[in-house]
Formats: sequence, C-alpha cells, structure tokens
Amino acid sequence: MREGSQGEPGSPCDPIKGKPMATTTARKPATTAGAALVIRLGAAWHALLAFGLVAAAWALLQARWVQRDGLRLYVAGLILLGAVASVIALVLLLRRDGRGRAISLGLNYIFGVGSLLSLLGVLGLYISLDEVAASFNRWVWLLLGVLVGFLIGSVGDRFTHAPTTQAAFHRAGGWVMGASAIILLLAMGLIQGVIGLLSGLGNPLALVLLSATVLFGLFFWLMLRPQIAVAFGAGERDAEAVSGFLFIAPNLLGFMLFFAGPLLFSLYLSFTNSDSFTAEFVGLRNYIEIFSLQFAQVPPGQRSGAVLSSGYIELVRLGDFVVGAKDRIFWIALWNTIVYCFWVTMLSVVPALLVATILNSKIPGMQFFRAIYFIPSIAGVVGVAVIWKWLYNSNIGFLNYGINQVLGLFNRLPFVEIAPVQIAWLASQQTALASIIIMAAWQLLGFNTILFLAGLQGIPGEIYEAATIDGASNLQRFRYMTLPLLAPTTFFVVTTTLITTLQVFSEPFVMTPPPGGGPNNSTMTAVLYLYQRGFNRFEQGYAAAVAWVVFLFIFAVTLVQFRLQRRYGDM
Amino acid sequence: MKRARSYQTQKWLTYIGAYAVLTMFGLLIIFPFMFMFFTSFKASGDVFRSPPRLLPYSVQTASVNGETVPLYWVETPEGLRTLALVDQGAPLVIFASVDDPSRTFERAPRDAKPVGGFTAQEQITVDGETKLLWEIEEGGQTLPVFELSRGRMGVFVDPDDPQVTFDASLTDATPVERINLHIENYQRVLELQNIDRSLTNTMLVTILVVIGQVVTSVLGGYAFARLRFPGRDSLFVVYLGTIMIPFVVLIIPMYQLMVIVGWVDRIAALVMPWIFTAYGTFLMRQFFISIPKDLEEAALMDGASRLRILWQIFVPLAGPAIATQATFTFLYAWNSFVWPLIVINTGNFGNQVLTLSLMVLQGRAAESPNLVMAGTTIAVSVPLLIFVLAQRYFVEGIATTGIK
Repeated sequence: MREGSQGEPGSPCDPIKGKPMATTTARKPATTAGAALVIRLGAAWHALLAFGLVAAAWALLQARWVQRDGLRLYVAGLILLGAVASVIALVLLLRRDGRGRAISLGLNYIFGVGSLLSLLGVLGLYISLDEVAASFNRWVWLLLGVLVGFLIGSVGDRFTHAPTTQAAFHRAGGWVMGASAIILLLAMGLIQGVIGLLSGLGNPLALVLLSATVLFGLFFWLMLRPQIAVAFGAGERDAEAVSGFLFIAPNLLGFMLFFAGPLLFSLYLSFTNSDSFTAEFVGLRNYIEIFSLQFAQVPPGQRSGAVLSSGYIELVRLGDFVVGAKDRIFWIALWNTIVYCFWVTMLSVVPALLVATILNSKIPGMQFFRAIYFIPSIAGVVGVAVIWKWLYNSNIGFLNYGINQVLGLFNRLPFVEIAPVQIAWLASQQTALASIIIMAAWQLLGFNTILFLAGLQGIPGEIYEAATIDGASNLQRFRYMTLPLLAPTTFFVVTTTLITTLQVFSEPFVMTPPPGGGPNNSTMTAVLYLYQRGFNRFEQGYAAAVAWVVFLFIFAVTLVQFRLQRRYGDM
Repeated sequence: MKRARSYQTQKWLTYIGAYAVLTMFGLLIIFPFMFMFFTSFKASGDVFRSPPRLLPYSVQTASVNGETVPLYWVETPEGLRTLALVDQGAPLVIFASVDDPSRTFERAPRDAKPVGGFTAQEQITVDGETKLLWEIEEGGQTLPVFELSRGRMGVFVDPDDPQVTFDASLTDATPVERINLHIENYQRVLELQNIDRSLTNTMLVTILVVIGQVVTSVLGGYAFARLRFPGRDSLFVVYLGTIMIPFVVLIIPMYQLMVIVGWVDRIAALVMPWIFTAYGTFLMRQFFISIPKDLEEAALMDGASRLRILWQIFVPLAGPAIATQATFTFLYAWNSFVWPLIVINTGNFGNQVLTLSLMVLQGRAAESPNLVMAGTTIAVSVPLLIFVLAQRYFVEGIATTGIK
C-alpha cells in the first residue's frame, strides 16, 4: 500500500491532486496516549499471531493424517507467508509506518473472514442448506406471493404519466414481495434454524473459532479508528483505498478460493497421479503419455501392430505409413472436437448472418421473430439434447419422417424412384457426430443472430444511402460495406462460438448411451474424455493434464483469432 | 406514377420473401419445442406410433352396460359405423387361397385342418417362403389355403343399442381418436425420480446464486469503477483475463476442494463457488463508470458513507443493468449441468437439480417419452417464462456484450 506512506515526512500534500491532505502537516503526526496504546496492543497481537501461525504450519507439516502431500505443503506455505506478513506488520507498526497499518488491516480481515467462515462451517451452516432445500420444497408455493408482488409492481410501470400512482403501485408491490419473502422464510424455519446453529456454539472448536473471529474483528476495527489513522498519517486517499479493498474483498476472496487457488492446484495435479484421495508426483509422465506418437513404415504383407512399439496403438494408417499413439482415444477425441467446432461454427455463424440481415430490414414483426429465434439458447443444452434424441429416433423420429416426406414429393416426378430412408442418426458411427453438430448449430443459431443483429443496428443507415446513390447493388453493398463494418461483431461471434464449442461435453454425454462418446468413440470429445478419465476411472491427475492441454489448445485458437482480427479487422 | 407502383410491388415482393425465409427459420427453430410440448400430453399407447404424429390423441370410449369400452370405426354391411368393442374376441387367422392368393378368408384357428395331419403337415412355397398347408370349408367346398396373418375377431356393439352385435377383425377396425391432453403425465413425472424436489432445488440454488452474484458484483463493480486503491487497474486486467479461462481446467481441482470441505453431494457445493463472478463484476463496472461523478461528490461532501452512496444513488440507477445481469445469471444457474453432474455424484436424489434428474429420467423412462418430455417441458418452461417477463433485458444484455 504505497499511499499509506504518503503521510510521512516530506509529503504532506497529495502529490497528484495537489489538494491539502486532511491530516496534520506536522513532520511526525501527533499521537494520543490511547492511540499509542492501541498500536502497541496491535503489535503484540501480531507477534502472537505470527507465533500461532508458525505453530499451525509446523503442526500441519507433522500431521500424518492429512493424505494430500501437495496440498499440505501448499497450505503450510500460505500459513507461513501469513506469519512472515504478520512479523513485517509488527515491525512496521512499531515504526509508525503506514504500510504496517495496511498489512495489519489486510491480515486481520483475511484471518477474520477465514475464521468466521470456518465457524459457520463448524456450526453446520453450509450443510444445513440441504435441510433448507427440503423445507423449501414444502413451502415453495408461498413464492407465488412474491410473483404477485412483482406483477403488482409491473402494473405500476404502465402509469408513466401519473408518477404518484406509479410509486404507489411500486410500493404496494414491494410490500407484498417483502411480506411473502418473510413469511416464506419463517415458514421454512428461519428462527429454529438460527437457534439450532447457535446451540452448536457449545462445541470447543466453535468457541475457539468464535473468539478468533471476535479478536480479528476487534483489531481490524481498532486499526480503522480515526485516531489510529491520524497516528499513521493516513489521509482521505487511504480511506478511499481501504473502502476500495473492502468493497472488492468478497469478490476477491471468492476469486482466490474458487478460481486462482484451484487453477494453480490443477496445474500441480497434472504432474501427479492423483485419484482424488492420494497423489504422487510423477513429473511430466501424464503429458508424455498424452503426446506420445509413433510414425512407422509398414512393410507389405505385415500388420501395423507388428511395427509399432509396445504400448502404442494404431491411430491412422496412410498407405504404407502408420501412426501409433499411446493414448489413442485422446487423439480421436481431439479430432472429433475440432471437426465439431469447425462445423458448428460454420453452420451457426453463416446462416445467422443471413437471418440477421433480413431481420435488420426493419420489417414489422421483427421483435416477434427475434424472440422466437432466441428460445433455443435459453432452453439449456440438456433439455434440448433430450428433445432431439427423440427427433433422431430412427423408427418414430420426426427427422426421418420429414426426410421421407420430402423424398416422397420427389418420387412424384417422372423417372424418379428413391426408396424411403431409415437413417440411424445417433446409433451409427457415420452419422452420430453429424447429428450432434446439427443440433448444436440449431441451438447456437438464434443467439448468434441476435449478436449479429445488434452489430448491424450499430451501422448508420446514411452510408448505405450514399452507396445506393452511387449505384452500388445490394450484393456489392453487403460485400464491401456491411461485412467490413461488421468485422468486430463477426470476430466476437466467431470467438465465443469457438470457445464454447471446443468445450463441448453435455451434448454427446446426454445423447449417446452412458458413459457417452459412442458408437465406437465417434462422438468422444476432449472434455468428455477428460470427464471419463477423471470421474469414471478416477485418474484425476491424468484428467487434469488433459484439461490443461485442452485449455492451451483453446488459448492458442483464441490467440490466432486475435491475430487475424488485428490483421484483417479493419479491411 | 408507374414507377411508384413498381416500387410498391418490389417492396411487397421483398416483404413476402423476407417473411418466407423468417417463417421457415422460425418453424425450424420452434418445431422441436412443439414436439416436446405435445408429446408431454400424449397417452403412453400413443408415443411409439409410426409414422409419428405431432398432436396427442387418445381413443374415445363409450359406456356400455356400465363398462367403459373403446370405440372403433368398423366396416359393416350397412357401411362404416362407430361401434364399441365389448369383447377382444377369439383368435382369428387370415388365410389366402393357394390357387388365388388374392382371395382371403377369416377363420377361427380350430376351423382349419392341417393337410396331412399335424405331425406331417404338408408345405408349399409362396414367394420363396415356406408355408404350412391348411384346408378350410368355403361354400360347402374344401379349399387348400396358407396362413397370411393372425388377428383377433372382436365383438362390437352399437353403443346406443347394445343388443345389436357385429363380429369383425380387429385389424380392420380403426380406433376412434380425438385430441386429448393427458395432464396426468405431469403429475406422474413429478412423483417419478423426485423431480418435484429437483425443481425446488433448482429454484433455490438459482435464487441464491442470482442474489449472491448481484451483491458481490455490485460491490466489486463499484470498487473498480469509482474507488482508487493501489493495484486496482492490474487487478482489473487479471479479472478480464479470467473470463477467457475455460471452466474445464477447474473441474478436477474444484471437485477435490469439495471433497476436502465435505460438500460433495451437498447443495452448498452448487451455490457457494458460484456467487463470485468476474464477468458480472466487469458488466457492473462498465455500467457504474458511465454514471456522472457529480452525483456522488455532493453526497460525499455531506459525509455519506460509501456503502450508503452505493445503495442510495448507484443501485437505483443501475436497475436495468442489475436486471440484465440477474436474468443471465438465472439462465446459467438454471441450465448448469456439468458441475452438478460432477459434484452430486453418488445418487443422492434429494439434492439433485433438474438437469441431472432429466438426464437420469431419460435413461430410466426410455419407454415413456411422454413422461421424459413432460419433465423437459417443466425444465424449459421456467426460463421461458422469465424470458417473456424480462425480454427487454435479455436483448439489451446481448447488445451490450456484443457491440463492445
């Protein structure tokens, strides 16, 4: 916290804005006796904290009951880092350095929130969500009251010309909503739940955590007192910085806990043979297994298996050459993913541009069509996949029926005789991936149309008029004006579609029989393969390595996209 | 005048062409949902019909002598009539004459005698297929025949006058059908596979995630937009970068984290990790940054706290932005599948969400697509309802993310 030191000698003024700081302009800020005592108390608290943290880290490193070696080192390292920070805070506090106060605030906040969250965990708050869900099931009809309140409120929106009526409706709606929500909470047993949680405080661990929470909270609060801030020469900007961190803190903690932490942990796991309970460091073995390929020439009359080393299985055969891979299914999955990604992007972006161009011609009823096209993307992949699975049924599905109806029309022409078809769609190795591609393109089409439409509506109409006067045809205007002006939107649409489709999982998982990916791996995708290795076979270390390969692949594709955008973006 | 007229014609032609294309695409988009909706109302006997039929039909019935019996169209000597089937009747065999296979005869099985006796029955070959040879009486003569197909001879009565009976082959009778909505499918599917619990679980999880995300991203967005603190801009860049990182890298470590904290199979695992969002924070920041600064400066002069400024000035102004974020979060939370699949994994049906139940249901109720579609209709209709109520925010939200 650099600003923290600005109250120090030599910088009484805010150097950027030139405004006088709200603090005293004395060389060494005056400190009241009370503040001095608090600062000394705080220093003592940090000494105690550092000692406690070192002890905790030592105990963790000794604890044999914790199975995960990597995680134990990771957490012990974090705790030791906290101890070091605490010592630094101690020293700086005693030297009346503003940075000491900042570190102290940060440490007390993090550990305070940490012990509060642990306390809630020990009291069983998170687990009790299951019971909340059970009683919610019983009382869910009370939510109707909230809906009624919402509707009352929206009726008020119609009275834009009568602000008092509108406000009255909004207030009435708000009251109904609030009252229904409170009745729902009470019916679900809010009071009993709180009493139940509090009765857990008898647990000694809970008591320890409670006192830790209170202590951390107390020192955090003390360090925020105006007298203490004055003692450290902190000004308005420091106060703003503190509020900034406080506002961002919930988000940042969640980000650390559920994003940054797991991301690093995932990288570590990819170098182990973790099965989710034990993990041994194996170095690059997972990656080597994934990428192991062998090229060999097959002498005539020999089987390809004879020329490949043991552990390698034939992947593809090109004439006399054979390519073998250690992890054959990974390569198949990667290839399927690329094929899927290419076709879904093609089939959902190009028609979307066409439909958006038509929708943009300002004909009446455009909103209606726009709403219809949007429905597939709000319906969710699982529901849509379940529906399409029945449409694809080879006996009673509507798709084969529709195709045969169309063929029947052709059969009426002279000299045409086409036998009715019965395509097996999802059950056949040749058509399974294509079936999933068609469905996915159908689902993304509407969403991409709306994106293109938004982009088209951003293009001013006057330039078209100018071009029309100059005699440009419709096609010329589309090719030389619309397309270049729409390039940023196109880039956005293509990039999001690529990123989404490269992660395809749910469609093949739902539409092909468990564990998915069939028939004969023809719909196996990279993420589905990751899931099967990680959660059917519990080879989570290997699955983490596959995840990183997929991630880096997506990253590379996005990077290429950005390059292309920069080169051709403003054509 | 003529020019104007041709211009009008051209305009109308363009309109018709545009509507034709739009309607075609619209039908393509909407048809699977129509299929889902109508199938969910079908009777179980109606779902495996080939060729398929969109609307739900069921056989009409009549009450004859206090019993409910199905109605059929039957060919009688007086023409086609609506009759009630009172007795499924005796088995019936349709024979074809050996001399002239187009002549067919309906007989009870006992009325046909095997040529050469049952032990050494003679055979003939018809169209490459070997058939057993039988003899029947027809007009006082014995006729050699072979079996064409089997059916049942039903006993039909006139529903208005049950004394009048007719005998007819069931294969020739067509059931009298009428469009009929089997609403009880919904009740059955809610009881099946704990779907009613999944429905409320999904609602609860979605509500908690939406509230949590809106709160954390309003706070974070305000900090990024309005408060100066060291490292803010680099932190913001990091946040932006994380939007690009796909969820697949986090699946394994997040699962292990849930194992460590004991949240596997718990609702908490569906809520807690999802109430923090880089994307929502980013959206909120973009909105807050567009609000003029004078508003808050005046309030700051009056000594209002930051939280109060946020709550009383920024949040009311951010209504549409918050609604947009809430609707999108709602969709993601409602439709999320991969994470619940991983973390609710030991068949704890009490804590399942709709997407999971739907997955299980389509495996278990593979014989009753009407029930599967009823479940799907339930899962799809809630987001659809939200979409209808909050359409404005969807479109605005997409437009803002797309153009930028």
